[in-house]
This record gives sequence, C-alpha cells and structure tokens, in this order.
Amino acid sequence: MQNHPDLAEVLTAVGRFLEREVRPALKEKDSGLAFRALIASHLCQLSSAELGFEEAQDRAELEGLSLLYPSAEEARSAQDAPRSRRKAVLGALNQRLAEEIRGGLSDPQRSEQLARHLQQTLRTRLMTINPRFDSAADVP
Amino acid sequence: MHEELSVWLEGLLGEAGQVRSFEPLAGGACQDNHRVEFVPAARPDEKIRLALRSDATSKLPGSLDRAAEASVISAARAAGVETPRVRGLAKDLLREGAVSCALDWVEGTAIGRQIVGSPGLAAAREKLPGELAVQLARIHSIRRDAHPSLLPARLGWSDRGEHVDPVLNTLGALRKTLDEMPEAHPALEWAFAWLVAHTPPPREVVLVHGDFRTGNFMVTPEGLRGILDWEFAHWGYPEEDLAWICLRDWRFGVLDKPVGGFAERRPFYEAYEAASGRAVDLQAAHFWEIWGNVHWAAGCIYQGERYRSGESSDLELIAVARRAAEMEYEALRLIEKGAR
Repeated sequence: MQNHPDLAEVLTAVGRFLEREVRPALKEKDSGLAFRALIASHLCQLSSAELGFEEAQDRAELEGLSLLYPSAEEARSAQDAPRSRRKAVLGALNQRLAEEIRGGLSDPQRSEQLARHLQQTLRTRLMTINPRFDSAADVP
Repeated sequence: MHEELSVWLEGLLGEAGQVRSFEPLAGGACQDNHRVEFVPAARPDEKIRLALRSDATSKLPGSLDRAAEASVISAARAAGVETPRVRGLAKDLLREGAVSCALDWVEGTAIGRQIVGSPGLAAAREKLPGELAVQLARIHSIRRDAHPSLLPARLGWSDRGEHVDPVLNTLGALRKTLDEMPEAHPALEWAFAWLVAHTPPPREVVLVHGDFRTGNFMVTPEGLRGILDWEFAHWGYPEEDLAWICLRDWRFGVLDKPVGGFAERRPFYEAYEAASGRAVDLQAAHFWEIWGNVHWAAGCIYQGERYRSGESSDLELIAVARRAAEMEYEALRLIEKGAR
C-alpha cells in the first residue's frame, strides 16, 4: 500500500504552491486575488496541521465532557470510535452543555466547572486554528 | 458602465468630464467600495477622486442601506465630525436595485497592520488617541431628540416610538443570532449568560458609530484624516464605541496597546472625558468589550454560514469563520479577569 504522500502532505504542498507560485504571479495583476491566494494557502497549511491534532483534540474534549456528564457513557466510548461517531457525540454533548447553560447557572461551583472546561477546549482548538494566538498572555 | 457613471458624476460635480479609472478597494467584506477618477473636460490635467460605496449583494444584520448611511454622515458632519462628504446617491448604477453613494476621497491608509506598525506613522500614532477621542465625543453629541428620524425605528426604538433600552435591544439581537446558528456554541452561551447577569445601568442615549475601530479611519503621517464606514450606526450608549476599538482582534497583533493597537486605555478615556464632559463608566466599558467579543464571534460564524449556504463564494468568509474561537476565548478570559 502506498501511504505517502498522505492527506497532510498534499494539503501542505497545495498551500506552498499557492503561496510560492500562484500568489507572486498574481500580485501585480490583481492584488485582491493575490490576497485570496494567500488566504487559501493559510487554510491549507492550518488544515494540514489540524489533521495531525484532530483525534487527540476530540478525545480531550470528550474526556472533559465525560467529567461534566459522568452518566453520559458515550462520552467515554466515543473516544476510540471513528471520526464520524466522535463528531456526532461531540455535537450532541455540546448541545446538552449549551442547553444547561441556557437553563440558568444558579450553582456557582458548577458554573466555574463549565467555564474551566470551555476555556480548556478553546485553548486546545486555538493551537490549531491560529498557532500565533497566545492564550497564556496577560493581555491588558 | 463608465459612460453612465460619467454622466452621473457630471451632474453631481457640475461640469463635463470623463471617468478615467474605476478600481475596487480591498477590505470591503460588507460593501462594494471603488475608487473613481474623474477628469474634467475643461482641465484635462486634473483628476477628481471620489469613493463610490455601493450596496453589496447581501446585507449583514443590523447594517444600514446607503441612503440611511448618508443621512448619518450628514448629521455627523453637522456635529463637526471629520468624515468624507456625501456628493450624491444613485440607484441601479452598478447593479439592479443597489444604491451607490459617492463620497469625497480622503488620503491616507485604513489598513490595520500599517496603522499599528508602519514606522512612517509613528508620529500619527502618538496623536491618534486624542484625535479619535475628540471625534468620538462629537459623534456622541448627536442625540435623538434633535434627529428624530435619523435612523430606522427598530434601532433602539419600538414601532410605537417607545424607547427600548439599548442594552436589552442589543442582547435581544445577539440572542436571535445565537438561536439561528446551526451548531451549539456553549462558550458563547456561557458568555451570553454573564452579559445578561451584568447589564450596565441605563444612561444617556447617543449616536453610536457601531464599528469604531482601527481599519475604519484614515490615517496619514500627519494624523487622523477621517472616520469611515457608518453602516452600523445606531442609538446606544457611549461605552459601546469606547470598548469596541479595544477588542483584541482590532489591535492587529499589538496586544499591549489596548486602544486599537496603538495606545493605552487611560489617555484615550481621559481625552474622551475632557472632550465630551462625560465620565467613562469602566464597568460598562468592560461589559461592552465582552459583548463585542461575543458579537464578533457570532459575526464570524454567521459569515461562514453565508459561504456554506451558497449565498457568497468569498473564500475570506471561510477563513473568518474559523477564527470565532479567538473571540470566544477572549470573552471568557475578560470575564475571568474582571474590569480594570
């Protein structure tokens, strides 16, 4: 079986092509289109990186949700399930979480627990969608 | 198309001539903006530059059409705000049904990265907090009692003319946006619950620019040249504008300069207080900065849906949508940090 070039390598290659060959060729003729070629290149490169992290990220998010909802068996069982199953369980549990928040956060301890989970999940997601975003910075 | 445009501009400018160039301007995700050069027949060596701002194919929620925007610009100019003059409005000029607005051309740049970082603009950056504070105080001097028909009734006023608290109005609009999203966004729900529990007290209602930030004003090495983009103007509370310019995303990477990526908060607020005679409520500003991040996160997701639904084929919308988590995280971070 041929494993390489794999999906991540293809995306990286397309991203490089857009940035190094397409963008310079467009720059003089159409700066708007050149800018879009740059966006396309970034999207390819970030997606390529995301491919490598996605499974671990999903697992971590499911683990966090299983701590918030200990009776939700699927949060644990989905951690080793195929991608489509993981995404379905994540969608359903995030829906449940959103509904709980909308229902009112009368217990401050619970509210704090939810906030910590949300921050942690976002921090992990930010590492792939924008590696330059410094979530640890004390921004004034 | 140039022919029709030339005829219209001849009427507006009161002299015969020809449109020589018509170039799209970058950075208009919401409006179609163009730079037009008109050469008068009597003075062929001269060119008159104008900005032509036209309704885009799709409208963003809460945005004004060109005619309403033109009225806001006129009111702002009458209040002493430095903003390009409206030369005229025309329908069906670029596209069937779209209204175009011709504005005086202003020199300078509105590109965020240049404004926060260009070495040639270092002196301008020193002056900007003071200059912007004065402009904002003038915008906020515009009151509804003097301009009863300036904006559509829905913006802060019920159909029966009753005042709706701008905070409740804004949170109502945000709730609607969240409800229409195809996926659950628990972090936005959490931040929304915080906003509902921490609404600032009512205060005087003023004209709010609604998108007062780096990227929406022109700057030259000499300083501020004009305030742009009035499509989100509405009746509201002053701190909304004072906080919006401080959003992390509008600092264009210069995170330690909270005001637009070029200034500290204190001198900006102090200059605003001196120019407006109004004290800045820091708690309210904190509320509006958190609201701003939630609103912008929701806006990013909405932009992505415009692409996903097939309404727009602009690749930038996909890139913007993927950045929503930045604003979600910032909203939660600010809530944890508290007002300063």
